[in-house]
Amino acid sequence: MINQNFSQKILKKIQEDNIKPTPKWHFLLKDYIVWFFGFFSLVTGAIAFSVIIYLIKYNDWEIYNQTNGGFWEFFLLTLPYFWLLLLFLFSFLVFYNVKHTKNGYRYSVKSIVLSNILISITLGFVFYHTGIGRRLDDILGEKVSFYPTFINHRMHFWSQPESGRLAGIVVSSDGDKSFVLFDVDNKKWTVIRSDDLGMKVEIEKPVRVLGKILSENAFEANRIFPAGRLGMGFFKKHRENFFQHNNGFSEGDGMFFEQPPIDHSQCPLRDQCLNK
Amino acid sequence: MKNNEELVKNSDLPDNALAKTDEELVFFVLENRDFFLHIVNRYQIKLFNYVKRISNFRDEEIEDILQDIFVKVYRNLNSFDHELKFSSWIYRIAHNAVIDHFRKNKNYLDNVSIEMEDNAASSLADDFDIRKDIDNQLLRKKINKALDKLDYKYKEVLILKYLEEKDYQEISDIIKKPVGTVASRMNRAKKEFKEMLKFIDN
Repeated sequence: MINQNFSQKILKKIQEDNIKPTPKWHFLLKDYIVWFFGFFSLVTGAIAFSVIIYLIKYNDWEIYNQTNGGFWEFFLLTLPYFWLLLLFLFSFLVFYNVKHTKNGYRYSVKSIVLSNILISITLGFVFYHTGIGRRLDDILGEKVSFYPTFINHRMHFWSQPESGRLAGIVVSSDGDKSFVLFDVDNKKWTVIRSDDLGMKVEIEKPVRVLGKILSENAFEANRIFPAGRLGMGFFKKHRENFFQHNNGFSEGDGMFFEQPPIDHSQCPLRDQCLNK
Repeated sequence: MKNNEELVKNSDLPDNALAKTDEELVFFVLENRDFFLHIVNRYQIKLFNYVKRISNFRDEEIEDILQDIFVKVYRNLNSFDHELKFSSWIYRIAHNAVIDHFRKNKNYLDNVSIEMEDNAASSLADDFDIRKDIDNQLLRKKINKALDKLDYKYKEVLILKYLEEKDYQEISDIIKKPVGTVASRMNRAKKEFKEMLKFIDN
C-alpha cells in the first residue's frame, strides 16, 4: 500500500535536496563520445584489415613449397596475428559502443557483428587501395622496436636460420661467392653461395635466403630472393642502424668484413674455409 | 489505496495539466518543477504494482525504491528520448532500479516469489487455457506457483505482457533487448509456464 502523500514527499525531497534535472548537453556529450569511439574503433579496425590484406597479399605464396614444412605450417607461421588481434579488439569495441548508444539495444548481436564485418571489409579494401596498409607497415617497421617480433610475424619467420630461413641487409659482398648479411636479430652471417644461384646481391639491400647453417656465423644459401615488400620500413631503419654503429665502414663501399674475405681458391672444402 | 485520479484531484497543481500527455508533461516539468507531481501521481500506483510483481519486496521497501525511481526520473528528464513512449522509459528506470536493489542486497532474482491479484491471474489464465471453473484463489495460487518456478527473465516478460499489458516494442524498450529477443524469450517463457502448469496439475 502506497502512502497517500507519496507524491508530495517526492516533491519535497526534490526541493530540499535541491535536485535539478541534469542538463541536456551532458547526455548529448555522452552520446557523442560513445558514437565517436564507435566510429574511431570502426576506422581503426578497417585500417588493421587493410594491413592484413597487404601482408597476406605479399606473403611469399610463390615460395612456400621451398620452405621446410607444408602449406598449413607456412600459413600458420606467417599469419599477421598482431593485426588480426587488433581487428578483433576494435570489432569488439565497435560492438560495445554501438550497444551503448541510445538505441543500441534494438539491434541484435548478429546484425551488429555482420554490419561491422561488412563495413570493415569495404573500408579496409578502400584503405588498402589508397596505400594506407603498406604505409602503416613501413612506418611501424621504422619506428617500433618490437616490429619484427610482434607486429610483422613474417620477419620472425625469416629469422630462423636453424629452419633454413634468413633475412637481413647485405653489408658487404665478395663477388659471386659469398656476402655478409646483417640479420633481423642483429647478427652478422657470412653467406656462402651455392653455384649458379643467379641473383646478384647488392650492398645495403635487404635479401631473404633459403639454405642451411654451416657454422655459428656461416650460412649456405640455396636460394636468394630480394626482400621485396617484406618490412621495407624496418629494413630501412635496420640498414641505418648498422651503418651508424659500425665505424670505419663507409656506407656503400662494400668492403666491410669482420674477418678478411675468404679466398675460396685456397680451400677446396667450404667448411675448412669457414673454420679458418 | 487511493487511485491516481483521487491523488491528482487532491493536489494543488496548475490547471489543465490532467489533459496533457506524459510527453507534454515532461516539457512542462522542465519549465516548472511542480508539474512533476502529475507524473508521480500518474505512475506511482502502476510502478508500485509493477515493482511488487517482479520483486515481491515489502511495501516499505518498494516505497523506498519508488522514491529512488522518481528522483532518478526527475534527474534524467533531459535524457528522455521522445521516440519512446514515456511509460516505457519510466518502466525501464523501474526495471533497472529493481535489479540494482537485488544486486545491492545480494538477493537472487530467481528466488522471487510472485504475488498477484485476482484480475491479473485471470488475465494470464485467459491466454493459457487454464480451467476457469476453479476458485479464483486456487487459480491465483496455481499461477503464482508456476511463475515462481520460472527464471526471472521469463517471469518478467510474462508479467510485462500479461499483467502490465505492454506490447513487444514496449517490452523491448523497457528491458533494453531487441524485439526479436523479446519474442523468442516470450515463446520460451510461455512454453516453460505451460509445462510448469502441467507439472503442478499432475
